[in-house]
Amino acid sequence: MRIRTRVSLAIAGFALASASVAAHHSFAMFEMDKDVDYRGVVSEWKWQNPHVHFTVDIKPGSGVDPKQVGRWDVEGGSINIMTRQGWTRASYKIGDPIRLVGHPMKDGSKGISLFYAIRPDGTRLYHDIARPKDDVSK
Amino acid sequence: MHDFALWVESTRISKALFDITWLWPLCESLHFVGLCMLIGGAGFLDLRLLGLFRGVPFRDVKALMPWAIGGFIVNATTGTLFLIMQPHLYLTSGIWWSKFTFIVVAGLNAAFFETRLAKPALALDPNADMPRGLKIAGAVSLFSWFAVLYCGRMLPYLGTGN
Amino acid sequence: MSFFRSLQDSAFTDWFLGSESIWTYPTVLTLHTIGMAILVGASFVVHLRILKVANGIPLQRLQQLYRFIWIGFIINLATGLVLFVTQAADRVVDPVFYVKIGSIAVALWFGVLVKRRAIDPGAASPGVTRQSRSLAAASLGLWIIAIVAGRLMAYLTS
Repeated sequence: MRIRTRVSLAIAGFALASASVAAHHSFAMFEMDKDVDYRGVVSEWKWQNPHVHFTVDIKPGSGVDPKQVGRWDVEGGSINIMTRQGWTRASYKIGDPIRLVGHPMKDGSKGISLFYAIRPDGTRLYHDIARPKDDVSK
Repeated sequence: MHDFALWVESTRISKALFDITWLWPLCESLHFVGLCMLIGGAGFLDLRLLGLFRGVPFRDVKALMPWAIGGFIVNATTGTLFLIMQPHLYLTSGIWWSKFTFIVVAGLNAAFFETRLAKPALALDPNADMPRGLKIAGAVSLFSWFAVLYCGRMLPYLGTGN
Repeated sequence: MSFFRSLQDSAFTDWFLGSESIWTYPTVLTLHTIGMAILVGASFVVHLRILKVANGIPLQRLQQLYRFIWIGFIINLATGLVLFVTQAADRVVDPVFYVKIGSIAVALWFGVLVKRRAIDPGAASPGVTRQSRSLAAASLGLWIIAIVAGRLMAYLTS
């Protein structure tokens, strides 16, 4: 029957597509209660809505956890919310060193949900209003 | 509020729910479907109260209400789940409290309508003009639900403002 | 392929996605949600009636609901095109995108068939037939698929 076939095709296509949902970006895919420290160099910088997105390269070296070596995908919030927390388009650029705290992906792949960056002077750039219990300073 | 949100997120139920990776995206999808049911059903009622769809008996419009209420229940449930899983996104946000306020306004308006205006509405001739009181109730409801939608959708952009 | 890449990497996209104003991306996205509520909400009422809920509503009165269906569709076509341009290269290779657009197209088409067969005054067999009810049910199912696909797409944006 025409109708049933079309609907079945739509559902099948949809089911196939949902198998690939594991790609990235639902923040439910990050371990939100794990805070991990990362230090690296910015290799990509996308200051855009709906999510600010940048990549950080971590090279092997003394004091560097080998599991952290590689290129990490960091996801932030919207431009609007991050701007209110003090971020600007010029906060970082490709080649800048960066230190940040974020939540890693549950499946172990190199993705980070940004919590805050730490400026050279030690102050923090939060990505939204969330603060840790032990918040010392902004 | 901030400390309360942190406390909720430290509870076992919050972590257990948020740990189910597909739950959050599922709740989002259901929340969107629910809002279509709610705005479809309640919107149709409100437009009728504003005088559109002349000739449709009020009793027949009301027969759609269980579906609008069903949409509301879906959204209240998924909304509660969002609150339990990530309260810090909402409880300290002025825009979220605006959304909640508009939900309360829509609810109070609906309760007022049910108790005071529904009976006279049912007695109306389907082809008659709608009296002023009914039009206002319809307008308040329609505006409120769209305000809820606006606040909800703008949350990742206007939210967590100082 | 490079046409879609040029759209996604265009100056318009940079401006639109990189703007700090709430009147650009956030507003277009919210209008898209409002359009969805109107389009699917109105379709929901029409098809519920065809499925014999609120049975007393005179069928011809449902014709006026189609005005809202078209208003919602036009809002979403316009906002959808803008959003598409900013992600053109990613979307054009995304199966979920095609599921969404396909579901919308068929859901709308079935809605038009329902209108012609059961609602319009000159309908060949006016009133609700089993075929109209099948079309209405399928249309509702497809709207749900379209909504879910739209949500999932957000998770596949790079």
